[in-house]
Amino acid sequence: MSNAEPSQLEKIVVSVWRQYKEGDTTAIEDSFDQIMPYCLRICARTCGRYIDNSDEEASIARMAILEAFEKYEPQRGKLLLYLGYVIRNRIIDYKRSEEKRHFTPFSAFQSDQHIPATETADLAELILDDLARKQDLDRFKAVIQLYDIKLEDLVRGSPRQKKTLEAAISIAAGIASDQEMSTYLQDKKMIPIRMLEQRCNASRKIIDRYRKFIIASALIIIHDIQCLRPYVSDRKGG
Amino acid sequence: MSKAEGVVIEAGRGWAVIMSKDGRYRKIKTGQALYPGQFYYAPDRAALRYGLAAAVLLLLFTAAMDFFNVVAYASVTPGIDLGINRWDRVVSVKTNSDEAARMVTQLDIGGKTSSEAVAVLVSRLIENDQRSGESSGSLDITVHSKNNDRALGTKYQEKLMTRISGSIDEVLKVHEKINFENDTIGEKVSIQYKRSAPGLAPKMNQEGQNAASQPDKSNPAGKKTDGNNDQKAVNKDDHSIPAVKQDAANSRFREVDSTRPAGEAGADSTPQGNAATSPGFFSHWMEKKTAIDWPEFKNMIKPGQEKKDN
Repeated sequence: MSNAEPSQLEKIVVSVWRQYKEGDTTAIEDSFDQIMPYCLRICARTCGRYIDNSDEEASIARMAILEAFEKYEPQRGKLLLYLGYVIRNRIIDYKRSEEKRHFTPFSAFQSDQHIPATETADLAELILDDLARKQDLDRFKAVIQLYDIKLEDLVRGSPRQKKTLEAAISIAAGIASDQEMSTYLQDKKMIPIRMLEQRCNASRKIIDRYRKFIIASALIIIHDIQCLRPYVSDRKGG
Repeated sequence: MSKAEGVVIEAGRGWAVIMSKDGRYRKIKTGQALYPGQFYYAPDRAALRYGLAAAVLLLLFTAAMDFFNVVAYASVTPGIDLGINRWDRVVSVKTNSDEAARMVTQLDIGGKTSSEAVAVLVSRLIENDQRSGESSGSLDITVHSKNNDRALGTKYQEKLMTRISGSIDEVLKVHEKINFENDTIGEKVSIQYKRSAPGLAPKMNQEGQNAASQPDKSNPAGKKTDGNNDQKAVNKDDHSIPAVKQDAANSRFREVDSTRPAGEAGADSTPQGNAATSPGFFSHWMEKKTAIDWPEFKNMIKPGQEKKDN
């Protein structure tokens, strides 16, 4: 999985390309884990379905990476965009050959532009934005893991009623906004129930029932998980 | 594209965990290619809604078409055809005269079962004849298929005729002054009715012999319980008082007569007027077990009333 920001991903890919051009063929293999999530998303957007490493399209993407590295020149633009362009065209060629059972040589790619460059650029931008958000989410998952909270727990433990949901989020916002309570939470890995009852007049019942949800929401605010922060803002203005 | 419903936190093939915009965590099944960090847009279900609405409309339309599809006709002789659907409901009426059309409009038989509609129609036709002064008449009711070149199924026809015949029997019992003969022959019900003269006791023997359509189970053969020759003056204007007895052919009254010991009513006794309408009144009369004249009958003590002097 790629842990780098998009600009960093671009830097990584350019660095790998330079190493490849200098004759270091193992550089691509070492960086596959960082580049493949981006390539898989390009494949998924092109095919319109979920693609993972076990799919045929993933192997086509790997071949497309080699081809893109082989043919890329700096005057063609950003390497990531070019890579996306190459992958999309290879996938489309593969689909066509599957339908018509007609082999289209790789050399046909050179002269034809199957997809407008702007469309690929937009797609690549979207994917890069998604990858940026994914980094935030990876951080969030790592944080809640410290509190022994899993995503399944949050799915099961989410309040269904609107009023209860608002009350739980309000409690989380109350914890995050209070220095003492947030410190207590991070140190003890527990909700400061007594302090909440005294300061926020919080319902003990809601705290007990939705403990993990409240902790996760408080951590989103405390650790400033940007992509999730808008969803846990206190509706009551907290 | 619709507004984002949330952000994808975790995803796999066919599923994803999203944080929805209200802050809840939801696990969804999806055919979309979703990856962590991607915004989630709920699929547009407008097509499904429209399709569902269209399917419902089609179903209602088909049901309506089926409901109003005539499978058989019940024809009542003076030119009235009732169109019956597969649910045994009257969905159309054809008449060959304006008068019949007016009468049918007043009756409002649309939607009723075939037996109910025919019974109401027959009852009204007989009443109309009475008002016009006809002392007798006849009606035929037949059942036939919609297409003349195609016969109705035998079982269906029999079933329909049985229902119609049964309902007519019930209805004609209301017309207590009427003697009727209900003759079911195959696919036809023939009704011949004669109106009793108001205020006069029907001539039982003669009419009983003539109108022997229903076997009398309660009265042994030959037993005549009334002497019809003795006519007593009655209140000719009072048609509302039910007659005590009717002719021998009317099994309903025959059952009542059979409880009176032979001769007690005697040839001299000729109950006038019509039968009691209430069971209590009738049983009270039975307790008396005496022959009574019409004035006495009229002034008879009814349960709960004070005795009147004649």
